[in-house]
Amino acid sequence: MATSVSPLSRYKVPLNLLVAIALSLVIIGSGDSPLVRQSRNLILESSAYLYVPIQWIETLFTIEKDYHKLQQSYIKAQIELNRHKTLLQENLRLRKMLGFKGEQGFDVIPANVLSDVGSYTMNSLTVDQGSKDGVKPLSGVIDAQAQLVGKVVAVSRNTALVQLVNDKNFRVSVREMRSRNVGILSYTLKKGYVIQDVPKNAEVIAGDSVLTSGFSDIFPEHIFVGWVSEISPVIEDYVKSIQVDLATDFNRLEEVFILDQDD
Amino acid sequence: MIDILKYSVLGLLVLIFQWMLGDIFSIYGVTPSFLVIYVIYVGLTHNQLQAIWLGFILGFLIDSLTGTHMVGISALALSIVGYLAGIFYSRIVRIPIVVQYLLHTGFLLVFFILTVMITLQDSQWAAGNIVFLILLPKTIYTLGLLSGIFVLLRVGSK
Repeated sequence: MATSVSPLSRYKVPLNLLVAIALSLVIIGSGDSPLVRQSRNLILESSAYLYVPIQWIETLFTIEKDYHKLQQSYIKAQIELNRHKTLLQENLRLRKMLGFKGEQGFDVIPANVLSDVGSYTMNSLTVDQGSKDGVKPLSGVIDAQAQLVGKVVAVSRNTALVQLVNDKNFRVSVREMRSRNVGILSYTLKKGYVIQDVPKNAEVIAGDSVLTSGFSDIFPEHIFVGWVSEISPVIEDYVKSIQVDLATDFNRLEEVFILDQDD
Repeated sequence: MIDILKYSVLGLLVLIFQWMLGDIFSIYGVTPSFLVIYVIYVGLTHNQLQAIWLGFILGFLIDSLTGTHMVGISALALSIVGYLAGIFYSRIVRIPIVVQYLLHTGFLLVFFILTVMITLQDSQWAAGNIVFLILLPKTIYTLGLLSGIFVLLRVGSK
């Protein structure tokens, strides 16, 4: 006796596939919706717990070495700070005499790196500070040497996701310190990190420092980005491009500092 | 039911492995996808329906963890790969080995075309560079690992 198969069970698998495709397309289409953001934050938050034991064991082995290193850095930084304080006072006095406005201040939120991911779509890392610690989306992130690390792109209650400066889609306004020219630092496949459209007569040599320009709401000025590595030949007789080596060692990042800018 | 639980837990372990240790396997910036290997494995040896939904869930989780700007793209790609692999469920062993490799390559290409090409379409990368510097190296690398893993599993089951 032949058994009849209902059409629904016959098309069960294709129907399931269609539902999965439809759901995926809805998620892709509503990437910024609160529901997708909340579920993403929940996943990030839960994943952070996986790193707690690993981090704890790592800390046990490195704590003494880190302490001595920090002690040395602290003394050096303290001497440097004293020198800078004097210079700052002088600078502020002179700026006041010339009628300049005051600069925007900021606090820093220290954070431990939980994980770093280099996927084909985004180089990112997760840190153990979230909205309850005052981290806001689009806050700048620096390392212990005040070198640019990236910016916060997603925040959950206890964690935050940081897009790294070495990500292909990262852009930041920078200033080359010798010529004082400002440009956008971006990644290009052929040349790596490049500041494009720099005037041809700009006096730039390899080894010059590149710092953030401060022309954005995310990064204050004077955050160290890297060094000029190469200057490309003048294109069409009026501009040239500058190749930059990033200063931050992304493989050794353990702690970062999230900038909390004053409103 | 126990099977569903078993494959889901194993899937989560593969996801954690991909997320935490995937970069260790990176060669010149080319990282293989262990998740797609797992979804193909489930589709070929277990159940098409489960491969679709496992692919969807694992895809959504990895998208959320890696911070891609297009959450859901891996869910889409992995559920399609799960469906395609499931078509050959239990039949794959009767297919000549060369055709088996071609099928695996096809599954991987579907996955990487969907994930890499779509997510990088708005970037500054030229299409040729995406194909030759990311898409093909990733496919070849993942195919190599997939073949190795499948051979090991076959030897293990014997």
